[in-house]
Amino acid sequence: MSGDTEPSLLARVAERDPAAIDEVYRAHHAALRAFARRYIGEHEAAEDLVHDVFVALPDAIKRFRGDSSLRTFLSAIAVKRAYKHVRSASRRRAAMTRLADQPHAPSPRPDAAVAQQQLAALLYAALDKLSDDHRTAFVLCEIDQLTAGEAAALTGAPEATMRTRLFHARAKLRALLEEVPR
Amino acid sequence: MNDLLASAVSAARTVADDGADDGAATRLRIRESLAKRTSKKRLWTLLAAALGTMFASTAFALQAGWDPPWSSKTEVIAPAAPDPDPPATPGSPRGGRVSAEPSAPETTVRFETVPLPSASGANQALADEAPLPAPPVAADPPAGDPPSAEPRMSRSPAATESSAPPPRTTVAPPVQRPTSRSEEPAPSSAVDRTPSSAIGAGPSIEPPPARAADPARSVEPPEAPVADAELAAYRTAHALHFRGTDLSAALTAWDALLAKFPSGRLAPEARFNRALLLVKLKRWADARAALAPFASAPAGSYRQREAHELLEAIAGR
Repeated sequence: MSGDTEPSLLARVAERDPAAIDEVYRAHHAALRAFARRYIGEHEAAEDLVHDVFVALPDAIKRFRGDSSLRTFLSAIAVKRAYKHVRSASRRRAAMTRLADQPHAPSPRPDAAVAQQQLAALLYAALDKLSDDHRTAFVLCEIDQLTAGEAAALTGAPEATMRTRLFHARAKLRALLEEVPR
Repeated sequence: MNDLLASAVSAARTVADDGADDGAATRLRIRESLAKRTSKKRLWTLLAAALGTMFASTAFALQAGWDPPWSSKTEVIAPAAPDPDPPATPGSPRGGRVSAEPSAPETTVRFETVPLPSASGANQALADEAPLPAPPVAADPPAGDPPSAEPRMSRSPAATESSAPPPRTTVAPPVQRPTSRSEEPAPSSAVDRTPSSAIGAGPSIEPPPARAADPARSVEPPEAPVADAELAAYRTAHALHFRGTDLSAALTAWDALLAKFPSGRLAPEARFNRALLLVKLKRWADARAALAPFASAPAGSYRQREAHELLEAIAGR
Protein backbone atom coordinates (compact mmCIF):
# COMPACT_ATOMS: atom_id res chain seq x y z
CA MET A 1 0.00 0.00 0.00
CA SER A 2 1.46 3.33 -0.96
CA GLY A 3 0.49 6.91 -1.37
CA ASP A 4 -2.54 5.92 -3.35
CA THR A 5 -4.17 4.31 -0.33
CA GLU A 6 -7.89 4.49 -0.65
CA PRO A 7 -9.34 7.43 1.20
CA SER A 8 -12.21 5.24 2.33
CA LEU A 9 -9.75 2.89 3.98
CA LEU A 10 -8.12 5.77 5.80
CA ALA A 11 -11.50 7.04 6.86
CA ARG A 12 -12.40 3.64 8.24
CA VAL A 13 -9.08 3.54 10.07
CA ALA A 14 -9.88 6.91 11.59
CA GLU A 15 -13.19 5.45 12.76
CA ARG A 16 -11.31 2.59 14.43
CA ASP A 17 -12.76 0.00 12.12
CA PRO A 18 -10.93 -3.21 13.12
CA ALA A 19 -11.11 -4.62 9.60
CA ALA A 20 -9.49 -1.52 8.14
CA ILE A 21 -6.76 -1.51 10.75
CA ASP A 22 -6.14 -5.18 10.06
CA GLU A 23 -5.81 -4.42 6.40
CA VAL A 24 -3.21 -1.72 7.00
CA TYR A 25 -1.43 -3.97 9.47
CA ARG A 26 -1.16 -6.84 7.04
CA ALA A 27 0.22 -4.54 4.39
CA HIS A 28 2.79 -2.72 6.51
CA HIS A 29 3.56 -4.61 9.67
CA ALA A 30 6.55 -6.53 8.27
CA ALA A 31 8.34 -3.45 7.02
CA LEU A 32 7.47 -1.51 10.14
CA ARG A 33 8.64 -4.28 12.41
CA ALA A 34 11.92 -4.56 10.52
CA PHE A 35 12.39 -0.85 10.83
CA ALA A 36 11.62 -1.01 14.53
CA ARG A 37 14.05 -3.84 15.05
CA ARG A 38 16.79 -1.97 13.25
CA TYR A 39 16.04 1.13 15.17
CA ILE A 40 15.82 -0.41 18.62
CA GLY A 41 17.92 -3.54 18.19
CA GLU A 42 15.60 -5.68 20.26
CA HIS A 43 12.81 -7.83 18.91
CA GLU A 44 10.45 -7.63 21.84
CA ALA A 45 10.76 -3.88 22.09
CA ALA A 46 10.26 -3.65 18.35
CA GLU A 47 6.99 -5.56 18.66
CA ASP A 48 5.92 -3.18 21.38
CA LEU A 49 6.72 -0.26 19.13
CA VAL A 50 4.70 -1.73 16.27
CA HIS A 51 1.83 -2.23 18.66
CA ASP A 52 2.03 1.39 19.81
CA VAL A 53 2.13 2.66 16.26
CA PHE A 54 -1.03 0.83 15.21
CA VAL A 55 -2.86 1.72 18.40
CA ALA A 56 -2.05 5.36 17.75
CA LEU A 57 -2.85 5.12 14.07
CA PRO A 58 -6.61 5.92 14.19
CA ASP A 59 -5.89 9.25 15.84
CA ALA A 60 -2.74 9.99 13.88
CA ILE A 61 -4.25 9.15 10.51
CA LYS A 62 -6.28 12.38 10.67
CA ARG A 63 -3.01 14.23 10.05
CA PHE A 64 -2.15 12.13 7.02
CA ARG A 65 -2.49 14.25 3.89
CA GLY A 66 -1.25 11.77 1.30
CA ASP A 67 1.92 13.68 0.43
CA SER A 68 3.97 10.64 1.41
CA SER A 69 3.38 6.92 1.45
CA LEU A 70 1.47 5.38 4.29
CA ARG A 71 4.55 3.30 5.08
CA THR A 72 6.61 6.45 5.50
CA PHE A 73 3.86 7.90 7.64
CA LEU A 74 3.89 4.79 9.85
CA SER A 75 7.67 4.97 10.12
CA ALA A 76 7.45 8.59 11.17
CA ILE A 77 5.03 7.62 13.92
CA ALA A 78 7.44 4.89 14.93
CA VAL A 79 10.36 7.31 15.12
CA LYS A 80 8.38 9.66 17.31
CA ARG A 81 7.35 6.87 19.63
CA ALA A 82 10.60 4.92 19.59
CA TYR A 83 12.47 6.93 22.16
CA LYS A 84 10.94 5.33 25.21
CA HIS A 85 11.42 1.86 23.73
CA VAL A 86 15.01 2.67 22.89
CA ARG A 87 15.66 3.77 26.42
CA SER A 88 14.02 0.67 27.82
CA ALA A 89 16.00 -1.57 25.51
CA SER A 90 19.16 0.30 26.33
CA ARG A 91 18.62 -0.24 30.04
CA ARG A 92 17.99 -3.92 29.46
CA ARG A 93 21.14 -4.29 27.37
CA ALA A 94 23.18 -2.54 30.01
CA ALA A 95 21.77 -4.83 32.68
CA MET A 96 22.47 -7.90 30.59
CA THR A 97 26.03 -6.74 30.01
CA ARG A 98 26.56 -6.22 33.71
CA LEU A 99 25.29 -9.69 34.42
CA ALA A 100 27.58 -11.10 31.71
CA ASP A 101 24.60 -12.73 30.17
CA GLN A 102 23.73 -13.15 26.55
CA PRO A 103 22.95 -9.74 25.12
CA HIS A 104 20.14 -11.18 23.03
CA ALA A 105 17.68 -13.93 23.31
CA PRO A 106 18.70 -17.16 21.61
CA SER A 107 18.28 -16.84 17.89
CA PRO A 108 16.29 -19.38 15.92
CA ARG A 109 19.40 -19.81 13.79
CA PRO A 110 22.21 -19.97 16.33
CA ASP A 111 24.65 -21.66 14.00
CA ALA A 112 24.86 -18.66 11.67
CA ALA A 113 23.95 -15.81 13.87
CA VAL A 114 26.38 -15.78 16.76
CA ALA A 115 28.98 -13.57 15.13
CA GLN A 116 26.31 -11.34 13.65
CA GLN A 117 24.61 -11.05 17.00
CA GLN A 118 27.84 -10.09 18.67
CA LEU A 119 28.55 -7.42 16.12
CA ALA A 120 25.00 -6.14 16.27
CA ALA A 121 25.17 -6.12 20.04
CA LEU A 122 28.32 -4.04 19.88
CA LEU A 123 26.71 -1.60 17.50
CA TYR A 124 23.53 -1.19 19.56
CA ALA A 125 25.53 -0.80 22.74
CA ALA A 126 27.33 2.04 21.03
CA LEU A 127 24.11 3.46 19.62
CA ASP A 128 22.68 3.57 23.14
CA LYS A 129 25.36 6.11 23.97
CA LEU A 130 24.32 8.48 21.23
CA SER A 131 21.70 11.14 21.48
CA ASP A 132 18.26 10.39 20.10
CA ASP A 133 18.80 12.63 17.08
CA HIS A 134 22.15 11.11 16.22
CA ARG A 135 20.83 7.61 16.71
CA THR A 136 17.84 8.32 14.49
CA ALA A 137 20.01 9.77 11.76
CA PHE A 138 22.39 6.83 11.80
CA VAL A 139 19.71 4.14 11.92
CA LEU A 140 17.67 5.70 9.14
CA CYS A 141 20.55 6.50 6.83
CA GLU A 142 22.97 3.66 7.53
CA ILE A 143 21.00 0.67 8.79
CA ASP A 144 17.73 1.39 7.06
CA GLN A 145 19.55 2.84 4.06
CA LEU A 146 17.32 5.83 3.53
CA THR A 147 18.70 8.91 1.85
CA ALA A 148 19.28 12.00 3.89
CA GLY A 149 16.29 13.59 2.22
CA GLU A 150 14.02 10.66 3.05
CA ALA A 151 15.24 10.57 6.62
CA ALA A 152 14.71 14.30 6.88
CA ALA A 153 11.19 13.95 5.56
CA LEU A 154 10.53 11.16 8.00
CA THR A 155 11.69 13.05 11.05
CA GLY A 156 10.69 16.52 9.98
CA ALA A 157 14.23 17.82 10.29
CA PRO A 158 16.03 19.73 7.54
CA GLU A 159 18.10 17.58 5.20
CA ALA A 160 21.31 19.44 6.00
CA THR A 161 20.69 18.89 9.67
CA MET A 162 20.19 15.24 9.01
CA ARG A 163 23.52 15.07 7.17
CA THR A 164 25.25 16.84 10.02
CA ARG A 165 23.74 14.50 12.56
CA LEU A 166 24.78 11.52 10.49
CA PHE A 167 28.32 12.79 10.28
CA HIS A 168 28.61 13.25 14.02
CA ALA A 169 26.92 9.91 14.69
CA ARG A 170 29.42 8.08 12.51
CA ALA A 171 32.33 9.76 14.20
CA LYS A 172 31.09 8.91 17.66
CA LEU A 173 30.30 5.34 16.74
CA ARG A 174 33.75 4.86 15.29
CA ALA A 175 35.27 6.13 18.48
CA LEU A 176 33.05 3.95 20.60
CA LEU A 177 33.72 0.82 18.59
CA GLU A 178 37.41 1.50 18.72
CA GLU A 179 37.27 1.44 22.50
CA VAL A 180 35.69 -1.97 22.61
CA PRO A 181 38.23 -4.69 23.39
CA ARG A 182 38.10 -7.39 20.82
CA MET B 1 37.63 0.92 11.75
CA ASN B 2 35.38 1.69 8.86
CA ASP B 3 35.17 -2.02 8.17
CA LEU B 4 34.14 -2.72 11.71
CA LEU B 5 31.36 -0.14 11.59
CA ALA B 6 30.17 -1.39 8.23
CA SER B 7 30.27 -4.97 9.47
CA ALA B 8 28.32 -4.02 12.54
CA VAL B 9 25.75 -2.23 10.44
CA SER B 10 25.41 -5.24 8.20
CA ALA B 11 25.09 -7.53 11.18
CA ALA B 12 22.46 -5.30 12.71
CA ARG B 13 20.54 -5.40 9.46
CA THR B 14 20.73 -9.17 9.35
CA VAL B 15 19.77 -9.66 12.96
CA ALA B 16 16.85 -7.33 12.56
CA ASP B 17 15.52 -9.37 9.68
CA ASP B 18 15.78 -12.61 11.64
CA GLY B 19 12.83 -14.21 13.34
CA ALA B 20 10.21 -12.80 11.03
CA ASP B 21 6.72 -14.05 11.74
CA ASP B 22 3.25 -13.19 10.63
CA GLY B 23 2.74 -10.74 13.44
CA ALA B 24 -0.46 -12.41 14.56
CA ALA B 25 0.29 -11.95 18.22
CA THR B 26 0.95 -8.26 17.81
CA ARG B 27 -2.17 -7.88 15.72
CA LEU B 28 -4.25 -9.40 18.50
CA ARG B 29 -2.64 -7.08 21.00
CA ILE B 30 -3.46 -4.12 18.81
CA ARG B 31 -7.09 -5.16 18.54
CA GLU B 32 -7.36 -5.61 22.28
CA SER B 33 -5.73 -2.28 22.98
CA LEU B 34 -7.98 -0.46 20.53
CA ALA B 35 -11.05 -2.05 22.08
CA LYS B 36 -9.91 -1.04 25.56
CA ARG B 37 -9.16 2.46 24.40
CA THR B 38 -12.61 2.76 22.88
CA SER B 39 -14.22 1.60 26.11
CA LYS B 40 -12.14 4.04 28.09
CA LYS B 41 -13.09 6.83 25.75
CA ARG B 42 -16.77 6.03 26.19
CA LEU B 43 -16.36 5.86 29.93
CA TRP B 44 -14.64 9.22 30.05
CA THR B 45 -17.28 10.68 27.79
CA LEU B 46 -20.04 9.49 30.08
CA LEU B 47 -18.16 10.69 33.12
CA ALA B 48 -17.55 14.08 31.57
CA ALA B 49 -21.21 14.32 30.63
CA ALA B 50 -22.29 13.46 34.16
CA LEU B 51 -19.88 15.93 35.70
CA GLY B 52 -20.92 18.58 33.24
CA THR B 53 -24.56 18.03 34.03
CA MET B 54 -23.89 18.21 37.74
CA PHE B 55 -21.84 21.38 37.37
CA ALA B 56 -24.41 23.03 35.16
CA SER B 57 -27.32 22.12 37.40
CA THR B 58 -25.45 23.31 40.47
CA ALA B 59 -24.59 26.58 38.78
CA PHE B 60 -28.18 27.01 37.73
CA ALA B 61 -29.43 26.20 41.20
CA LEU B 62 -27.07 28.65 42.79
CA GLN B 63 -28.01 31.27 40.27
CA ALA B 64 -31.67 30.63 40.95
CA GLY B 65 -31.14 30.85 44.67
CA TRP B 66 -31.53 27.20 45.43
CA ASP B 67 -29.20 25.35 47.69
CA PRO B 68 -27.82 22.11 46.36
CA PRO B 69 -28.91 19.18 48.49
CA TRP B 70 -25.40 18.59 49.76
CA SER B 71 -24.89 22.14 50.94
CA SER B 72 -25.04 22.74 54.64
CA LYS B 73 -27.54 24.93 56.29
CA THR B 74 -26.20 28.45 56.19
CA GLU B 75 -27.31 31.42 58.13
CA VAL B 76 -26.75 35.06 57.50
CA ILE B 77 -26.85 37.85 59.97
CA ALA B 78 -29.20 40.67 59.25
CA PRO B 79 -30.05 43.64 61.40
CA ALA B 80 -33.46 43.58 62.91
CA ALA B 81 -35.94 45.86 61.29
CA PRO B 82 -38.56 47.81 63.16
CA ASP B 83 -41.45 45.54 63.52
CA PRO B 84 -44.72 46.05 65.27
CA ASP B 85 -45.55 42.38 65.22
CA PRO B 86 -46.91 40.76 68.30
CA PRO B 87 -45.06 38.20 70.34
CA ALA B 88 -45.12 34.59 69.45
CA THR B 89 -46.48 33.07 72.55
CA PRO B 90 -47.81 34.46 75.78
CA GLY B 91 -45.10 32.93 77.88
CA SER B 92 -42.25 33.89 75.68
CA PRO B 93 -43.37 37.03 74.03
CA ARG B 94 -40.29 37.86 72.02
CA GLY B 95 -38.78 35.62 69.46
CA GLY B 96 -35.64 36.28 67.59
CA ARG B 97 -37.35 38.44 65.06
CA VAL B 98 -40.30 39.86 66.93
CA SER B 99 -38.99 43.28 67.58
CA ALA B 100 -41.89 45.33 68.88
CA GLU B 101 -43.13 43.44 71.80
CA PRO B 102 -44.08 45.43 74.86
CA SER B 103 -43.10 42.92 77.48
CA ALA B 104 -39.53 42.58 76.32
CA PRO B 105 -37.86 45.93 76.10
CA GLU B 106 -34.44 46.14 74.64
CA THR B 107 -31.69 48.61 75.07
CA THR B 108 -29.40 47.61 72.24
CA VAL B 109 -29.74 47.14 68.55
CA ARG B 110 -30.46 43.52 68.00
CA PHE B 111 -29.19 41.40 65.21
CA GLU B 112 -30.83 38.28 64.20
CA THR B 113 -29.88 35.33 62.17
CA VAL B 114 -32.14 34.16 59.47
CA PRO B 115 -31.76 31.02 57.42
CA LEU B 116 -31.05 31.24 53.79
CA PRO B 117 -33.99 30.32 51.67
CA SER B 118 -33.62 26.80 50.62
CA ALA B 119 -35.44 24.44 48.36
CA SER B 120 -34.21 21.61 50.45
CA GLY B 121 -36.91 20.24 52.58
CA ALA B 122 -34.41 18.95 55.06
CA ASN B 123 -32.89 22.36 55.53
CA GLN B 124 -36.26 23.96 55.90
CA ALA B 125 -37.28 21.37 58.39
CA LEU B 126 -34.15 22.09 60.38
CA ALA B 127 -34.96 25.74 60.35
CA ASP B 128 -38.50 25.09 61.36
CA GLU B 129 -37.64 22.86 64.23
CA ALA B 130 -35.04 25.16 65.69
CA PRO B 131 -35.94 26.44 69.12
CA LEU B 132 -36.62 30.08 69.60
CA PRO B 133 -34.20 32.23 71.52
CA ALA B 134 -35.70 33.99 74.44
CA PRO B 135 -35.45 37.73 74.92
CA PRO B 136 -32.77 39.18 77.13
CA VAL B 137 -35.37 40.63 79.45
CA ALA B 138 -38.65 38.90 79.94
CA ALA B 139 -40.33 40.99 82.57
CA ASP B 140 -43.63 42.61 81.79
CA PRO B 141 -43.68 46.38 81.76
CA PRO B 142 -45.76 48.31 84.21
CA ALA B 143 -49.35 48.54 83.16
CA GLY B 144 -50.21 51.68 81.31
CA ASP B 145 -46.66 52.78 81.09
CA PRO B 146 -44.90 52.36 77.78
CA PRO B 147 -41.98 50.07 78.14
CA SER B 148 -38.46 51.24 77.71
CA ALA B 149 -37.61 51.79 74.13
CA GLU B 150 -34.95 50.21 72.10
CA PRO B 151 -32.95 52.24 69.62
CA ARG B 152 -34.40 51.34 66.31
CA MET B 153 -34.34 52.57 62.80
CA SER B 154 -36.20 55.80 62.82
CA ARG B 155 -39.32 55.66 60.81
CA SER B 156 -39.95 58.62 58.62
CA PRO B 157 -43.30 60.20 59.31
CA ALA B 158 -44.16 60.45 55.70
CA ALA B 159 -43.43 56.86 55.16
CA THR B 160 -45.33 55.93 58.21
CA GLU B 161 -48.25 57.95 57.08
CA SER B 162 -48.27 56.56 53.64
CA SER B 163 -47.92 52.99 54.70
CA ALA B 164 -48.77 52.27 58.23
CA PRO B 165 -47.81 48.59 58.09
CA PRO B 166 -44.15 48.45 58.86
CA PRO B 167 -41.88 46.64 56.49
CA ARG B 168 -41.25 43.08 57.38
CA THR B 169 -37.64 42.71 56.39
CA THR B 170 -36.18 40.28 58.78
CA VAL B 171 -34.80 38.12 56.02
CA ALA B 172 -31.74 39.61 54.42
CA PRO B 173 -32.72 41.15 51.10
CA PRO B 174 -29.90 39.68 49.00
CA VAL B 175 -30.92 36.18 49.89
CA GLN B 176 -34.61 36.77 50.20
CA ARG B 177 -36.80 35.07 47.71
CA PRO B 178 -40.07 36.69 46.86
CA THR B 179 -42.26 34.30 48.70
CA SER B 180 -45.34 35.11 50.59
CA ARG B 181 -43.73 33.84 53.76
CA SER B 182 -40.92 36.35 53.73
CA GLU B 183 -43.14 39.38 53.30
CA GLU B 184 -45.99 38.28 55.41
CA PRO B 185 -46.34 40.42 58.54
CA ALA B 186 -48.45 38.03 60.56
CA PRO B 187 -47.08 37.47 64.02
CA SER B 188 -47.46 33.75 63.92
CA SER B 189 -45.48 33.30 60.78
CA ALA B 190 -42.85 35.70 61.99
CA VAL B 191 -42.32 33.63 65.03
CA ASP B 192 -42.33 30.45 63.05
CA ARG B 193 -39.49 31.60 60.95
CA THR B 194 -37.37 32.55 63.88
CA PRO B 195 -34.00 30.87 63.49
CA SER B 196 -32.31 28.69 65.93
CA SER B 197 -29.78 31.21 67.06
CA ALA B 198 -29.86 34.94 67.43
CA ILE B 199 -27.03 37.22 68.28
CA GLY B 200 -27.89 39.20 71.31
CA ALA B 201 -30.78 37.01 72.19
CA GLY B 202 -31.36 35.90 75.72
CA PRO B 203 -30.39 32.59 77.13
CA SER B 204 -33.82 31.08 77.57
CA ILE B 205 -35.12 29.08 74.69
CA GLU B 206 -38.64 28.26 73.85
CA PRO B 207 -39.74 25.87 71.16
CA PRO B 208 -41.69 27.40 68.33
CA PRO B 209 -45.38 26.76 67.91
CA ALA B 210 -46.52 24.10 65.54
CA ARG B 211 -46.51 25.24 61.97
CA ALA B 212 -47.68 23.99 58.67
CA ALA B 213 -45.21 22.53 56.25
CA ASP B 214 -46.77 24.42 53.37
CA PRO B 215 -45.26 27.87 53.15
CA ALA B 216 -48.44 29.26 51.67
CA ARG B 217 -50.31 28.44 54.83
CA SER B 218 -48.23 30.83 56.84
CA VAL B 219 -49.97 33.80 55.27
CA GLU B 220 -53.25 32.59 56.55
CA PRO B 221 -54.46 33.50 60.04
CA PRO B 222 -53.10 31.19 62.67
CA GLU B 223 -54.91 27.93 62.68
CA ALA B 224 -53.57 26.61 65.92
CA PRO B 225 -55.79 27.21 68.90
CA VAL B 226 -54.72 30.30 70.71
CA ALA B 227 -54.84 29.97 74.42
CA ASP B 228 -54.20 33.55 75.12
CA ALA B 229 -57.26 35.66 74.43
CA GLU B 230 -55.22 38.82 74.46
CA LEU B 231 -52.86 37.42 71.90
CA ALA B 232 -55.76 36.26 69.77
CA ALA B 233 -57.29 39.68 69.90
CA TYR B 234 -53.96 41.25 69.05
CA ARG B 235 -53.54 38.99 66.07
CA THR B 236 -56.99 39.78 64.84
CA ALA B 237 -56.44 43.50 65.12
CA HIS B 238 -53.01 43.21 63.58
CA ALA B 239 -54.34 41.26 60.64
CA LEU B 240 -57.09 43.76 60.04
CA HIS B 241 -54.66 46.62 60.35
CA PHE B 242 -51.76 45.44 58.24
CA ARG B 243 -53.40 43.04 55.85
CA GLY B 244 -56.97 44.05 55.68
CA THR B 245 -58.66 46.81 53.76
CA ASP B 246 -61.19 47.93 56.33
CA LEU B 247 -59.20 50.28 58.52
CA SER B 248 -62.17 51.28 60.57
CA ALA B 249 -62.68 47.65 61.51
CA ALA B 250 -59.05 47.51 62.50
CA LEU B 251 -59.49 50.53 64.70
CA THR B 252 -62.48 48.92 66.29
CA ALA B 253 -60.42 45.81 66.92
CA TRP B 254 -57.61 47.80 68.54
CA ASP B 255 -60.14 49.62 70.70
CA ALA B 256 -61.75 46.37 71.70
CA LEU B 257 -58.43 44.90 72.65
CA LEU B 258 -57.46 47.89 74.75
CA ALA B 259 -60.85 47.95 76.38
CA LYS B 260 -60.65 44.31 77.29
CA PHE B 261 -56.98 44.25 78.26
CA PRO B 262 -56.08 47.78 79.26
CA SER B 263 -53.11 46.57 81.28
CA GLY B 264 -52.23 43.58 79.18
CA ARG B 265 -48.82 42.66 77.98
CA LEU B 266 -49.63 43.78 74.51
CA ALA B 267 -51.38 46.97 75.45
CA PRO B 268 -48.44 49.34 74.80
CA GLU B 269 -47.84 47.94 71.35
CA ALA B 270 -51.56 47.93 70.67
CA ARG B 271 -51.73 51.58 71.66
CA PHE B 272 -48.89 52.47 69.38
CA ASN B 273 -50.40 50.53 66.49
CA ARG B 274 -53.69 52.25 67.13
CA ALA B 275 -51.91 55.57 66.96
CA LEU B 276 -50.36 54.59 63.67
CA LEU B 277 -53.77 53.63 62.39
CA LEU B 278 -55.19 56.98 63.42
CA VAL B 279 -52.44 58.68 61.46
CA LYS B 280 -53.31 56.55 58.52
CA LEU B 281 -56.95 57.47 58.88
CA LYS B 282 -55.87 61.13 59.03
CA ARG B 283 -57.59 61.62 62.32
CA TRP B 284 -54.90 64.03 63.34
CA ALA B 285 -56.26 65.09 66.70
CA ASP B 286 -56.87 61.55 67.86
CA ALA B 287 -53.48 60.55 66.52
CA ARG B 288 -51.74 63.32 68.42
CA ALA B 289 -53.57 62.33 71.58
CA ALA B 290 -52.58 58.70 71.08
CA LEU B 291 -48.95 59.48 70.36
CA ALA B 292 -48.50 62.00 73.13
CA PRO B 293 -47.92 59.46 75.95
CA PHE B 294 -45.20 57.81 73.93
CA ALA B 295 -43.55 61.07 72.90
CA SER B 296 -43.62 62.49 76.38
CA ALA B 297 -41.89 59.51 77.87
CA PRO B 298 -38.21 59.81 78.75
CA ALA B 299 -35.84 59.84 75.83
CA GLY B 300 -35.03 56.36 74.72
CA SER B 301 -38.24 54.94 76.01
CA TYR B 302 -40.36 52.59 74.05
CA ARG B 303 -41.45 54.15 70.75
CA GLN B 304 -40.54 57.55 72.12
CA ARG B 305 -38.54 58.65 69.14
CA GLU B 306 -41.01 57.32 66.58
CA ALA B 307 -43.88 58.96 68.35
CA HIS B 308 -41.97 62.23 68.57
CA GLU B 309 -41.18 62.18 64.89
CA LEU B 310 -44.73 61.33 64.01
CA LEU B 311 -46.02 64.20 66.10
CA GLU B 312 -43.63 66.54 64.35
CA ALA B 313 -44.74 65.23 60.99
CA ILE B 314 -48.42 65.73 61.64
CA ALA B 315 -48.05 69.02 63.44
CA GLY B 316 -50.29 71.68 61.99
CA ARG B 317 -52.69 69.30 60.36
